[in-house]
Amino acid sequence: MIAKAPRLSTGLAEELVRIVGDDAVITDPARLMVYESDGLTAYRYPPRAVVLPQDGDETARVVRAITAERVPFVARGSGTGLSGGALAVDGAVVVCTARMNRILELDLHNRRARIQPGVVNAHLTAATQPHGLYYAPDPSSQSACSVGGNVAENSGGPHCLKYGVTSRYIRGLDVVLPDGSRVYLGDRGLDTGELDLAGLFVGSEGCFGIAVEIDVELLPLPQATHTLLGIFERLEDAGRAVTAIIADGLLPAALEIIDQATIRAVEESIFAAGYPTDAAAALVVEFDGIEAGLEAEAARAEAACLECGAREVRRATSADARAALWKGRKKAFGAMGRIAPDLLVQDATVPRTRLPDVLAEIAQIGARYDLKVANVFHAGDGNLHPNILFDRRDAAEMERVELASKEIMRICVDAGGTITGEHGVGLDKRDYMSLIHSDDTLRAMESVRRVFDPAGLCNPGKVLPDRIRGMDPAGAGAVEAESARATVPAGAA
Amino acid sequence: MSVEALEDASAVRDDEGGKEPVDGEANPGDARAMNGGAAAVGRATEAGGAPVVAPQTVRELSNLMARASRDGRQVRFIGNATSLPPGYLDGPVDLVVSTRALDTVHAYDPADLTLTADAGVSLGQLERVTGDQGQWLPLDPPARARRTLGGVLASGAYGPLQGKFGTPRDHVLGLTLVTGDGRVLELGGRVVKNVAGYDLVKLAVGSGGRLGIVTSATVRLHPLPVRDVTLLYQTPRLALTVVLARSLATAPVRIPALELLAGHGEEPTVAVRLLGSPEAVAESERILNARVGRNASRRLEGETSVRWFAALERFEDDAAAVARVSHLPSRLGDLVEPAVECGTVAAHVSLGVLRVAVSGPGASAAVVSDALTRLRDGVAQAGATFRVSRANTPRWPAPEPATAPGVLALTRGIVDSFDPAGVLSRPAS
Ligand SMILES: Cc1cc2nc3c(=O)[nH]c(=O)nc-3n(C[C@H](O)[C@H](O)[C@H](O)COP(=O)(O)OP(=O)(O)OC[C@H]3O[C@@H](n4cnc5c(N)ncnc54)[C@H](O)[C@@H]3O)c2cc1C
Ligand SMILES: Cc1cc2nc3c(=O)[nH]c(=O)nc-3n(C[C@H](O)[C@H](O)[C@H](O)COP(=O)(O)OP(=O)(O)OC[C@H]3O[C@@H](n4cnc5c(N)ncnc54)[C@H](O)[C@@H]3O)c2cc1C
Repeated sequence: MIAKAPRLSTGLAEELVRIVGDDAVITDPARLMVYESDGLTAYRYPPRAVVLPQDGDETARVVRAITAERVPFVARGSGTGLSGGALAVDGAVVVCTARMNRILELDLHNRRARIQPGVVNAHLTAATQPHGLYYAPDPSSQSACSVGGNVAENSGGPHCLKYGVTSRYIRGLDVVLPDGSRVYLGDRGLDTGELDLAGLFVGSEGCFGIAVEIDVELLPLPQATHTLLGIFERLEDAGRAVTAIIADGLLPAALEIIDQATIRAVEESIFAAGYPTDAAAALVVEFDGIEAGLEAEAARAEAACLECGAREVRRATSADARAALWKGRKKAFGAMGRIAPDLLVQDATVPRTRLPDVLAEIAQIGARYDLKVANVFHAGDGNLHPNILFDRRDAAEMERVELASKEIMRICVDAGGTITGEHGVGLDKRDYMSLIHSDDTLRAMESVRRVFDPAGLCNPGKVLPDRIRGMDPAGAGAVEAESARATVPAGAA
Repeated sequence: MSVEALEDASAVRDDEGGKEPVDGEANPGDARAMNGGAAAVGRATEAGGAPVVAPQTVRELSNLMARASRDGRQVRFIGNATSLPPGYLDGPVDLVVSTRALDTVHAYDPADLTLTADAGVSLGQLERVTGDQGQWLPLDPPARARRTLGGVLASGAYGPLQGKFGTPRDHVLGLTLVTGDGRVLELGGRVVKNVAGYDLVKLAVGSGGRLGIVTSATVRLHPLPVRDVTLLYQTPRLALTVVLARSLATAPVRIPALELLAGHGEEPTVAVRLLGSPEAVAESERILNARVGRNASRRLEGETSVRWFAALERFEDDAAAVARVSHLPSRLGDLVEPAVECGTVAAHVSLGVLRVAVSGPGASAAVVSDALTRLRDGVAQAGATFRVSRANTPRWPAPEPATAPGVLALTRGIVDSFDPAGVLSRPAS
């Protein structure tokens, strides 16, 4: 079922056009379809309208105009989110940052940049690289996702094992609040003794306002990089190798596992990376930093892999050879989209030492529900992505996907983990929140949200279960969740 | 602050026989009931002699806060009780809560590099526990060893190592917070990546006891570095020192700690701490020396390197007041000059934060307050922020610039939601 959006009032439509111009307001239902889902294609919510402001001022005026009519709104970056965070629930107007894609200032002396939120993650690194600097958080979607979206999701990436996730790199945020006012949050570096409101905003999934300018910290490019690819006969062995490498006191920049189902998908696709298809798992290990000493670290990691049963370890240092070793990891999602009509990208974290048993349990769950589960994930952080391949036209299979997902979440939580490591709660995981948080904690989150958004008009229907959001009768925008499960093929991811 | 121990404190505690007080069970005439069931272990010499209690369980603490909130009694928190923000115990205080009885390390899994401990555990204790496993919590705020985990997280305090490892917000995976009205909130979790819900952990860290009391936390550990080297570069002139420090800060090497020390008639010094594999440390050293065209004046390795930076942790110990000044790192020069006029300076070079310690012990209140005011006016011209983080005088200049109205409104709203009855210290307005 697809939810239907109410229409924009003529007054508001005219006002929005006055602010951003004709070409930056979309109301034509055919063109709105592009915005009705994100990377999680199982849900579809056509927005009431889409507005594309060019800067903070326009955004503030747009938000003020929308909320003055008590209409809800939701920010959208590139729409690669995997938890339905940018969907226009309750007939919200989408405020898309795609045109706010300028790097406003590159301050090389202080290794900072001030950017607009729609800047694509990889573009920021591309722009700073010639100066010997880069932006560290590197979600696998980095060629498409926006830094504004990264801020909202507190996104991670393969190299966050060593460098930390988005919140480490955000110095300050210029934010448009739901009432259209503007406030600067941060700069933690300036040591103000204030509450860390920038830290709170990062990861707030678009529910606290729209970031219109972002101050990020850049890092000097590492001098050298060494990459290894361990090939394993058993998935559990790859998991043990991860623990062994860390226990040896090594801190790789990345530790990524690709399982057999994923390897086969990649090798059968146009992205064939030369991984052996009979292997149960491949482990990418990468070290970066000062050239001296990397060789020795790579040798220790290789020894750890072999000790844990790797049948082969490949090594590379040149850019091309390293890219070849990474290929199977980087093309995994694209390849999976080709072997099944639909793909559910799951996301959960467990303590790293629990990886071997949790992976074994996930395999059992897959077998029990007769589902194909392919794992490709940030192993060093214990951040799992068990991806379920299915066909939405098969209603019975759909039901098994639901049940299996629920069980997977449950075992991750039972192992001392959490329900999402980087993709966020969004629309998709609200009902899992009670697996890890007490009602008191959930209500505390809701109270904080209300400080930013008293009228409940900013990205309604996300993150918290309706039960919690319903606790306070004030919510004019309180939404009934219409779970419009399933309809679009997986290609997007 | 100091705490006068009550002579019979231990006896009082023994009486309880470990039984948890239950809300409503105590006799209302009983002094303990006033304290929410907890036995007073002392009396604060500041805070008008308010009783100090040291709850032994989270439950006890929760009951105590619920009661205080209901009765409108003003509560303040202390860890080990000396690096309190200035003015923290001024005004009417009815009860001081100490975390000293919450002192257990609950879970330490070296293979996962995570540890969960009570708020009252000191960083010194943690160092011993984790050091045995070749790991550490690379967090080095002033007076590190004696500080409690809860106090450090609540104050957001950090030290030179932030250059590589970040500030407390970057070390904490989760924590338990008892709110102003006694709710027990388990925030975050125990895994290194977690985005399940709004990040209230970030809010609690650095909140300075305004939202509630931290009772335990899970932190992320790191392997101890194989090689630990400190390079000290000295130059006779301050201006040259600043240039040298900035040159190091912009070298294509990530420096874990980069400090500039000046004032007090001593030769200005830039201190660099390098950590990692022997090969990488040696190569970094070579790159840095080449960049500044000279070798370090002194080179310390291993234990002596550790000890040099441990001594720097005592930088604030004897100060009558400490001010923190910050700006973009490239503006270091504009701040150092006025700062050395007012006190001794230790700057986190790559962060752009200066600590200025004013006078030694015994400096008169008037002298201290005058120096702080001169400092504030001096750095305000350069557009820096200024804040007094500690003062042993009754008067000190307000932060500069004042908090923006929008931030203040959000802060007030958040504080109200954690402490609806207003029994904890309020943000400065
Ligand atoms: C193939 C693939 C691989 C991926 N790999 C990773 C990975 O490795 N690590 C990872 O963490 N994620 C990954 N993701 C998920 C996704 O790319 C990230 O969550 C990303 O940060 C979303 O950015 P976006 O611009 O697409 O945001 P959108 O999907 O447009 O929006 C996401 C959320 O951000 C909010 N938002 C967007 N802009 C703003 C703003 N300016 N202010 C406030 N809120 C805003 C929206 O309201 C929404 O709630 C992957 C996704 C795909 C499809
Ligand atoms: C003049 C002076 C001299 C010093 N000399 C030495 C010395 O020689 N050697 C040495 O080792 N140390 C010294 N110190 C430092 C001092 O011993 C430690 O800083 C102190 O023990 C720190 O306590 P704490 O960090 O646990 O927090 P506190 O200082 O007790 O509190 C800091 C802030 O955090 C809040 N807080 C504390 N605990 C919690 C909690 N659990 N939850 C929520 N909020 C909390 C408080 O309300 C307060 O706002 C000195 C300090 C001063 C001011």
